[in-house]
Amino acid sequence: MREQRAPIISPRSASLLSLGVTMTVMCYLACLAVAGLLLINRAVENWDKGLSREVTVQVQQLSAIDIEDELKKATAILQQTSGVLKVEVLDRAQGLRLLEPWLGKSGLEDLPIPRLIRVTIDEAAPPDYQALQGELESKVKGVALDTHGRWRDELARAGAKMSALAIAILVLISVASMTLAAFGARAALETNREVVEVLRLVGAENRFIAGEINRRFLALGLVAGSLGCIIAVLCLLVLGWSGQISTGPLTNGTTTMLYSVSNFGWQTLAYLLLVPLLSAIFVAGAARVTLMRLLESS
Amino acid sequence: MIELDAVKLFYGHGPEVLKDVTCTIGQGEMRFLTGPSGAGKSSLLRILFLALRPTAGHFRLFGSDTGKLTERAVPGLRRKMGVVFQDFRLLSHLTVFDNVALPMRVAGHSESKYRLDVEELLDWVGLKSRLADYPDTLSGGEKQRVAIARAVVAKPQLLLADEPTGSVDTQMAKRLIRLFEELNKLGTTILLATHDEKLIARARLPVFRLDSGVLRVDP
Repeated sequence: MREQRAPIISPRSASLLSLGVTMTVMCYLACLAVAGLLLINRAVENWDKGLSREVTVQVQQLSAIDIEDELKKATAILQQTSGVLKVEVLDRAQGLRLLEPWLGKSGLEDLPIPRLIRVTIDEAAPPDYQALQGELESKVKGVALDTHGRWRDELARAGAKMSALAIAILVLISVASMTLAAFGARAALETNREVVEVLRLVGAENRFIAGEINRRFLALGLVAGSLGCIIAVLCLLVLGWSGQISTGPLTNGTTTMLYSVSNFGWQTLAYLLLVPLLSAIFVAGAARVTLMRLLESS
Repeated sequence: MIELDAVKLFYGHGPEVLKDVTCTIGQGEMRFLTGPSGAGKSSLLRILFLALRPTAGHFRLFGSDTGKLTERAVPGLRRKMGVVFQDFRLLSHLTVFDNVALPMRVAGHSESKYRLDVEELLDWVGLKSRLADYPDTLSGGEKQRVAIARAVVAKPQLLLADEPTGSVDTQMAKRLIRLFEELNKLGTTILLATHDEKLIARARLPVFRLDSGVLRVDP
């Protein structure tokens, strides 16, 4: 008993191998762009969250002052300020360690680096920074309050630009894929000219013919999209794995930003799985529009 | 069913292929179209199955003026017709069964609905044992029978056949003519193009004779 009807358009007669390979590469690049977009957004979000939770008070080592006294004064002011949850004075060694990734370990002892106070803020009710800065400056010598506002703005701007770039890449990949599919559809129609003629002679309408040919493009979009997605996920896993064994001088934050995409959540995976689906829709859609246009005009 | 009035046909700037062809084929009639090679039989059939438009004159099919037909209306009219082509036009990647079933698939029928009809028809043309074979493995006569089965499977209102018995032996030719006659009894209008005079003489049907593009009617 026959279970499945043979395709009217022979898979062998519409060779779409080169289009399939190209589409796989396109989908691979699209997955990397999506992963990049997610990575940037996640990194910016994490950094922003970290920066908004803390402010830093710097006390410069000026001549003729006892820096420890100035630190105590600053600490006292901070502890009395509402909206401050925790005040932690970093010793000189901790301050030097922060510079190590950029300057190395040797030769730092003689640098006149400022002492730092890490201040944890109640995000729900932050202090009045202007008033706090005024009070600190009036009572502590060589003091500066860094609310990280400039960094956060810069970060948000850079994140937005990177996201826009990733979206632009995705749009370009989509346009290129649809153009390729249109060329493929034209070639498939040319290859199947005789079949199309017979179909027309037995009364097939253009949408039936387009539908029969388009099945190949739908399958192609799904297969190429899935392959591209699988290769991209493997690459991201390898990237993440290489990050874990990296012994380079990167800070934890930078390492996290570069390699955190390997820590796939279901949400990330869901976004990546959208790529094969969208690939199939775009490819089949572009192919169908092209086929209908060509069939209507022939 | 078919009305041709002063139909002319030229290919480009070439000679006149059909010269003022005028004829009528009423519903339920069965006729032969004959003439020497190059007389214009195939061109006339191409006009009749709407693959060509006449250069001049009027052609009415199923009551519609084909000169006013839009391209979108053509498939619907073609589904009312069955056509047997001289060169068979079978799809080589489809089995005999799938080739015969093609008009049913195009018309949107499910396989369960047409399976028995297709098998019965293939049995009638002596090819039931070949239904899973591909056209490339068939002889010319077998291909012709598949083409005929495909043309009649949807029980068309009009059947046009170009040399439908050209590649089969006399016995099979008689059998196929009987199939056409059975279809005709069921109401299908049939026009058979052939230059097999013996076949025409045996069938005793009205004949259109085409010679150098001029059509005359033998009673």
